[in-house]
Amino acid sequence: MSNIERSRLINEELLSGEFYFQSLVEQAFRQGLIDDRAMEGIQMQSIRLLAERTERFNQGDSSSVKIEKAQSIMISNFYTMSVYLKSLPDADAAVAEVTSTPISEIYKKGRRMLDIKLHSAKHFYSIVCRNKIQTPNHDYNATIDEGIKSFFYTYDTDFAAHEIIPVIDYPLSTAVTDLAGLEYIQRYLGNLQLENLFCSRFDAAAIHRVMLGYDTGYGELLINIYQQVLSEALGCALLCKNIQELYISHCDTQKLEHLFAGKSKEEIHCLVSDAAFALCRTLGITNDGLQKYILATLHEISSRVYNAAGSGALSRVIVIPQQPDCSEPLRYSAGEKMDDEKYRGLIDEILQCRYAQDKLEIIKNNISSLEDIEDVLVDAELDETEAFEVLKLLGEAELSVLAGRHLYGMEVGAADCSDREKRLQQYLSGYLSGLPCEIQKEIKRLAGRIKEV
Amino acid sequence: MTFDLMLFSGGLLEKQAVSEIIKCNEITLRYGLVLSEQQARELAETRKDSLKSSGRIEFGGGVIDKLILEFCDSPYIFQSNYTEVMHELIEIFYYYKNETLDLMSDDELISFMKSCFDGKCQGSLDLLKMRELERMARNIRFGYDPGHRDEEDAEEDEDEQY
Repeated sequence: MSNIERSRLINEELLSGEFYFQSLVEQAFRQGLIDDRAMEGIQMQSIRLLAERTERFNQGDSSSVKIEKAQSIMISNFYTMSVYLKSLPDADAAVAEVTSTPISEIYKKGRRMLDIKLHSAKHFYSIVCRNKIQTPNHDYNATIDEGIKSFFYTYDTDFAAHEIIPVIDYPLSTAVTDLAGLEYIQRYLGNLQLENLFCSRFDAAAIHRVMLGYDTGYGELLINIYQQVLSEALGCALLCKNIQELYISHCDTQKLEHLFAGKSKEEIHCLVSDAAFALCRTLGITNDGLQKYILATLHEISSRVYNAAGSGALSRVIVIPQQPDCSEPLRYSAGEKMDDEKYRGLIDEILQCRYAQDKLEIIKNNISSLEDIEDVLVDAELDETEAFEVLKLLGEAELSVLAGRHLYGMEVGAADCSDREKRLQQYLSGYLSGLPCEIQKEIKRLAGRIKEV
Repeated sequence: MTFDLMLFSGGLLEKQAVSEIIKCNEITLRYGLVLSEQQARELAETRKDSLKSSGRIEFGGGVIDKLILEFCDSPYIFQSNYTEVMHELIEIFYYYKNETLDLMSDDELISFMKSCFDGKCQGSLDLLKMRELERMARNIRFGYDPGHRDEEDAEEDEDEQY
C-alpha cells in the first residue's frame, strides 16, 4: 500500500523530458522524499562532479572558467545522468537511485548509456538514409544529408551532451518537443523513418505530382511531405479511388467538398479516421508505430480540412496533383561571349586552315559560349559537313536553345531573314533531321521549356 | 533549492585559498615579502569579487598562489606595496582571462604579465593593464602571438625610447 502511495507522489507527467534530473529532484524535494540534508548532499556532489568535469574541459590549463560555460557543463552532466535515470522502471526508482547512489556513479552509468545510444542512433541514421524519399525538396535533403550527418561529427558527449549544433530544418508532421541532445535526434529520426516508411508505399513520381499540386516551388519550401501525401491518400480513400495513384481531380475535390459540407470538426475527424483505417488495410500497413503515427497526424489534417472546407479552399489541403511539365522552366545560361579582337583572330586562324579536323580542333579548344558557336558557324565559312561536326559538340540543351531561337515557331528560309540567319537555319535543320526521332522530340520538348537567363 | 551556479558561495574553497596564500610565505620570505592572515583573507575576497565581476567561476583555490610565487622576485615589489600590487594583479588576471577568450592558459598569462611588469612596464601596473596586456589581448583575438608587434606598435616603442 505504501509503495502505491509513494509512486503517486511523483507525478511523471510533470517531469521535464529535457531537464529530467532537475525536475525529478525538485519534485522529490517538494514531496518530502528528499530532505534538506540529502538535497545539500546532492548539490555538493553535483558541484564536485562539475569541478572535475570543468578541469577536464580546461585540460588543467585554467583554474577558472566562464560561468556560462560552467552552467553548460553542469546541464550536460545532468542530461547524461537523466539518460540513465529515465531507463529505470519509473520515477520512484529514479528518486531511490539518486538518494542511494553517488552522483558520480550515476553520471558514469549515464555516460555509458549515452555512448550506446549514440552508436545505435548512427546505425538508425544509415537506415533512414537508405529509405529517403526521392524528392527535390531542399530542406528534406539538406536535413538528412548535411544536418543530421554533421550532428554525429559535432556531438559532444563530454561537455555538451544536451546540445544540437547543426540546423535540423525539415519540419516533421509530429514535431519533437521536450527533448534535447541525442534523445531529440533519436526521436526525430524515429518519426522521420515512420514518415519515410509511409511515403515508400507510393511512387516517387506520384508524390512529386502531389507536391507540385500544393506548390510548384515546393522544392524550396519548409513543408512536410508525409502530411501532404497522407492528406491526398485519405482523399482517395474517402472517394474509394486507387490510393496509390494519389490522384484527385477537380471533380473529386467537388465531391469531397460536398462530403464535408455542413459537418462539424468531430464528424470530419470520424470520416478521416475511418478513411485512415481503410488506407492502412489497403496499403498493408501493419507496423504498430506507423499506425499510431498516422492516427496522431489525423487531428491536424481533420482540423485543416474543416477550416478549408468551410472557406471553399479544400484544394489547398487535398490538392489537385500537377504534371512536372507544367512546372518551372529550365534555366539556361549561354556563357560569356569572347572578346571581339580575340574572336576575329580566331576566325582568321580557322580560315587559314586547310583541313576540317584542324578547324574543329581550334573551335573545340577556344570556344566555350553558345553565342560564339552561333557566330562561328557562319563567320568561319564552314561547309555543311564541317558545320555538322561543330554541332556534334553541343548537347541536347544547347541544340534546344539554338533550335528555339532559329527554327521552332518561325518560317525556315523566310524571305525577310538575313543570309546569315538562313545559313544558320539550314545547318541546324539539316543536322537535327539527321538525329534519331526520340532525340529530335526531346530537343523540341526542351526548347519549349528552356528559359534563357 | 536550485542548481544555480550564481548561488555557489564556495565557503570551503575560500578557506583553502587563504591557507594556500599563507603557505606561500615560506618562499616569499626570502624576498622580504610576507602576508598576514588578514591580508590573505582580503586577497581571497578580491579574488571572489574579481571572479564575480568578470563572470567567471573557480572550483579550486585559485591562482593567487601562482601569482605570488611568480611575482615575488620582482625588483618592483616591496613589502610596502606587496598587498596593493597583489590585489591589482588578481583583478588584472581575471579581466584578461576574458579578454583573451580563454585562449591563454593561466601559466602563460601569468608569465606574460610578469615579463611585461618587470620589463617594459618597469613596475607600472597602469602600463601593464592599459598598454601591454591590451596589446597582447588584441593579438590573441586576431590570431597573432601574444608578443606580436605591428608597425604602429614598433613606432610607439621608438617614441618611448626617446
